Amino acid sequence: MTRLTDEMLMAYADGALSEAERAEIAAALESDAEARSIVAEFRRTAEISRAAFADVLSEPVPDRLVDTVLGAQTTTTNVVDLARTRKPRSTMWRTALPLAASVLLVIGLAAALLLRQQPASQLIALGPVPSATSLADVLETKPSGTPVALASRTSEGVDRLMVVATFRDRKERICREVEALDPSMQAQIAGVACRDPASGTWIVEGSARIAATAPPSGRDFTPSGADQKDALDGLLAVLGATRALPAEEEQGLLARGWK
Amino acid sequence: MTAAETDIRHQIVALLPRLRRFALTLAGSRDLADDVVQSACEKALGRLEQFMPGTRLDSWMFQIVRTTFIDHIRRQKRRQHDDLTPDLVENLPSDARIHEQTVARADLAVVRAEIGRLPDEQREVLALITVEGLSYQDAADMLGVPIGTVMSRLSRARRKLARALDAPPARPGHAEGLPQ
Repeated sequence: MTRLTDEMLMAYADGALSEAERAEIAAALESDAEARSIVAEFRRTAEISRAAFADVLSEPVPDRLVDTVLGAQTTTTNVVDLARTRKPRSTMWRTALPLAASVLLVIGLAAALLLRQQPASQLIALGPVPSATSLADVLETKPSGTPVALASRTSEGVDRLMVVATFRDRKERICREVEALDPSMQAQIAGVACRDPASGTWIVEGSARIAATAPPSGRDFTPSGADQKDALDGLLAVLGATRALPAEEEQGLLARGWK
Repeated sequence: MTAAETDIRHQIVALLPRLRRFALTLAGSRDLADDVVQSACEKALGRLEQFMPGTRLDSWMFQIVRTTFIDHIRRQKRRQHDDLTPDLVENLPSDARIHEQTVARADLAVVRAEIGRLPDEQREVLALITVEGLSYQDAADMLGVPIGTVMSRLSRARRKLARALDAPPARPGHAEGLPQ
């Protein structure tokens, strides 16, 4: 006859036993109502302990903590020519910047700070992207150029998300530039998220309000949020974005879950 | 900064939500938890070379958060000799109602307060194993105690918590080993 200690019942409730131990305790529990109620109590305390602190995970992390961890980004950088390979529509707010790498890096550092102080939107909030959100879905499962409708329109007038380009950063992480669009397919917010290969979590590295205004007809678009646009370009430079992946390569990565 | 170091920094950023939760479980107040996480991150960055690639970054960071918290409490104790029970109820989460169904009978603030009243060594195993999901063995390795000790602390913590939250009485005397 197995003597059921609290520790054994807890390990049983926590699913921490080997199959043989589990079966042995399950058999002993059949004739022991008190032990069963203790197992239920252990399950309940696990559930309420997790629930008591669950909200912290979905809160935005304070900027000062992110700043502390990222410190100064001092890696060298290449000049971005991603613009040429991005989907054409995004050229409305971006021009090629044939500047020296060091100049871009300075912009990038300023950009990283600027972006963190002024989060463009909760929709593309900095830091890890919570799972089961529209943003996570678009980043993980949608090819570039495929808009996905949001459940409701946000206060910024945004009602869909679309990835505009996929690239690898200098650490070979997969990164994707994503835009939040209004019903006329104009980008209001743009952001860059990179996928942490270990956890599979997408992390928004920066986002910017684009607010491109439709110009008088017959002319090209004019970006109005000039410094935010530069900020995003600076971020791409810091990440070491050089070229967008061709559609076939993106398709293959999508199919293999970005492996 | 090497590419590997930048990579670790990004992984730590991804861990920040869990580090904050762990610190909050230990400390009981958000402000204190964030201060602890911040100085823990500063410490970790100062000794990144001590992190062994291939081992778990989360365990390593939890360990640093834990020692940072303990140092902090020690310093506070030296400075002021009054009761250090953190004000657990002040920061009731605004979106606590999401979990209403799960915790029908126990208000989240009450749960947090009761967890805050547990002895430190019981609260930290509850934080590591039950809240953060470490295995008994991983927690034992981190704390440098036998797995049996970890299990005994955790089971006592949870039985105490259940009693404090007025759980239905289960097997009278069982926990104390009295005759049935």
